[in-house]
Amino acid sequence: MQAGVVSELSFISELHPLTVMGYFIELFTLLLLFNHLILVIGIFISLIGICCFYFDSQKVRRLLISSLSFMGIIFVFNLVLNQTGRRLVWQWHFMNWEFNLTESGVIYGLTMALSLGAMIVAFVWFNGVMTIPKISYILFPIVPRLAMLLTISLRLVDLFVQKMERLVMLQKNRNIIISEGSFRQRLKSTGRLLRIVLIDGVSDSMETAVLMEARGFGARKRSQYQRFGFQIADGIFLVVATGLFGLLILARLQGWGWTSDVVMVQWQRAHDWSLVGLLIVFIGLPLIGEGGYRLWAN
Amino acid sequence: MGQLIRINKLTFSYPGTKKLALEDIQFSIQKGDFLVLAGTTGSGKTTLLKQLKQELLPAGQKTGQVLYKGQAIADLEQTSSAQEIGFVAQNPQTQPIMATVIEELAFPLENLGYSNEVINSRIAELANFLGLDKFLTRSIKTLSGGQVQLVNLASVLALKPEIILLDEPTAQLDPTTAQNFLNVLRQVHDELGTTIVLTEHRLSRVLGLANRLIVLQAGKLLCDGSVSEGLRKMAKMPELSEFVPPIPHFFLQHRIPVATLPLSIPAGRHLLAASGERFRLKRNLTPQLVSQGERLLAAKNITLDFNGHVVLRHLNLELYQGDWLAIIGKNGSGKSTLLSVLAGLLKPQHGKVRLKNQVVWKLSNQLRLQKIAYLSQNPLEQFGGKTVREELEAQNRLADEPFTTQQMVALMTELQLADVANHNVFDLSGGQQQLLGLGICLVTRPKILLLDEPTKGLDPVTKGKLSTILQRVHAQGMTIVMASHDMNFCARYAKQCTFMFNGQVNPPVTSRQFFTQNFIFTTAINRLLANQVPTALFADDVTRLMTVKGGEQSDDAQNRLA
Repeated sequence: MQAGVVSELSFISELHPLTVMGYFIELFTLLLLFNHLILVIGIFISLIGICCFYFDSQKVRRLLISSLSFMGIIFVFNLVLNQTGRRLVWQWHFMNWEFNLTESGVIYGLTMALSLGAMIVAFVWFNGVMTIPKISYILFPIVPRLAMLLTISLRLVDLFVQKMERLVMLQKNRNIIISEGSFRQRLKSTGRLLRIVLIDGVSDSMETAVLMEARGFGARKRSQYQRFGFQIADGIFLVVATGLFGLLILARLQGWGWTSDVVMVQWQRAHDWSLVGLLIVFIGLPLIGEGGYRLWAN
Repeated sequence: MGQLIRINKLTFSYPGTKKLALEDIQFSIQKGDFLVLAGTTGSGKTTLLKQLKQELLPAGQKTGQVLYKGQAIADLEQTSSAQEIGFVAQNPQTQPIMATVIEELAFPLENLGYSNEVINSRIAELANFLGLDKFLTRSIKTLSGGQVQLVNLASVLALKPEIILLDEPTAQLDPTTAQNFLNVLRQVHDELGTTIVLTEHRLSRVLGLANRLIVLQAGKLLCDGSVSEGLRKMAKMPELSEFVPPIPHFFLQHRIPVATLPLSIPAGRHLLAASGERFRLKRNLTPQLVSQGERLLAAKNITLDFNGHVVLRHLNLELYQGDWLAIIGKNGSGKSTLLSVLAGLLKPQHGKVRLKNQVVWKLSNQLRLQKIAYLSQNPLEQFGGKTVREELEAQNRLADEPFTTQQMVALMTELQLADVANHNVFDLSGGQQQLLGLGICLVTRPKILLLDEPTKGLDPVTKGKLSTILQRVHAQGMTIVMASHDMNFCARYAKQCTFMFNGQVNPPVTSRQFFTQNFIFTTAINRLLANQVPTALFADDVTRLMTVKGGEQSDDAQNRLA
């Protein structure tokens, strides 16, 4: 298994790319629809749980460190920008400047941080499931050139990373070191390495282009090798996910889980607990699928 | 058998040069041929190969004709050209365009608009035929060079071509993977009847597969005929005799009368046994003790792992001034990693490498490279993308005692790079790049020179230049360590040898002792004469004994040698 890519033997990887894409569109839509603290806490914890299931501990640790740091910054910014809220908790004076810590500032800051954190975690999960071959499979019938470009870029990025890793080690023999010296020196060294990669890359790319043409690229309209089939599991998963999504949309249309006025935000509201249950079930659907997939095994 | 390709009086020159790259070439390729194009670097092999496929035609002035099934190559439809004439390049990494093996195999079929059913059945057949079925979902980046080259061949084969052109396809591969690749190529030729045209200068493995050998010399066709015929002609020419593989070279050097030159060790042994030829050592070649100077570098208890895979395991090695050590071992045995650790480029998890009393990775980078020089397998990765002169001058500025202008000119002359001093390093041939890499190493006057596969992809002529320079610097007291698969080169020049396996190196022994003890990792001549003269490593180590009256044997002295 590649780091950061969900195992191909898992239920979610076995699903048709269109099913997975549909599910993630619904998930990202839901992430934008609710701003009550209990709901976003539930969403964030569920998504972290999902990542713990699909990714290795190192990946989750790195993800937690980066998303929590980002969330911390968002929280602090919101506290600073929302000082006119409801219920003053703490006040601090410094020369002519006054800082008011309000309850609504804290709640809104936490909500925003958790929403954005959940968005990042969901995107990392999406990235692990919807690999570029799957995305280009979906894009091919609509924008074939973009699909091809995406596929090529994946290979080129791999080559670039491999090349850079080797250059970082071997160019020490030419006294080019990117991990020593002042920031300016490091930047200069990195620039020199990038220059070498670019020169090398251009010459290799020209050869690659000739070899693509030599294998008939551009001779005719391309076909696409279909490697994904729509199974019963796709249908069931899509129906259940869309059903739950519909229920959550209906609830949102009733005004549940959303407060328009920042000053009025509260720790929790009525209906939040039933909504959080529905959201957790929606996010946990792939895990239910994984269970079913294992039960189905011979 | 019918004629597939016909070349009529082909002459070609590249733009901006009056020198003809190809001159008056005329021959034909029959269906089912396995044709090897041989010649020195710059003889026109690759230029000629590129004339056989429309998409590869180089820019330049051309006269004469190249016809494929009676139609000019340049006039072929792109679809027919792609479908019927396949091409595999030298560098395995430049061909793949997709992320996974299965996508790469499907790529040419998708290009020509094949249906899903056809693509599926072609991939299924090919993957099973070439043994790629277990790799289908693997990412290309996780494959070894040999595996990628196999995928490249499979991707070309997917279109069921009539003919496959290969430009030195094994130049970047180690001997074991090169042999595996050639075995697959033999299978493709024998079982599918595909015509193969292959350029190569390391002929020992490939000639056993070929039914024809074409030799080019300075753009002209020197010989077109059977392999034996070609080898006999090459052996007579000083500039090409080094290209003749060791077994046929042995038969030619000792003038052993055979109708067809043997190309493999079993064939050679069989012919020697059948003809009753006997040999004896020319002189006493017992291993001599190598005098050791002061200890320079000591690696103690080195353990290094990559992602949980232990590459070096409690490894110990000591290097003394004046050593010339060759480290032999299969691909992936950790030779390159060991050299990187000795050079201070990689820091192991445990153990220390000390240069005299200083730990190498604690030395300042500039001081380290003044003491220890390292040349990687791909010298391009150590260049800065400038001209030859600029590259050497930049490294010279890092030296403790820089070369003078005169010394720099002398170095460039010795490296045979004076004519290309103002050329960009990316425009040099592989051999020139290797020599420049060596020059960059030598310009800082290091005490220790570490070389990773220094002869990889080099033709015998460049190998000869490299050995001359290495012998000179070694005689001046430089310590050399090289990791190599090239048994002949190691046996001929290294003073000590060791085997690396299981993350460790055996205690080094003298080269002759090492190679005469081994029965697999040794020279071709040692294996050929294992039953008669087990201590012989090269053709010139032995004298042929002549059978005279009464069944006694006498020396077949100098007069029988060329």
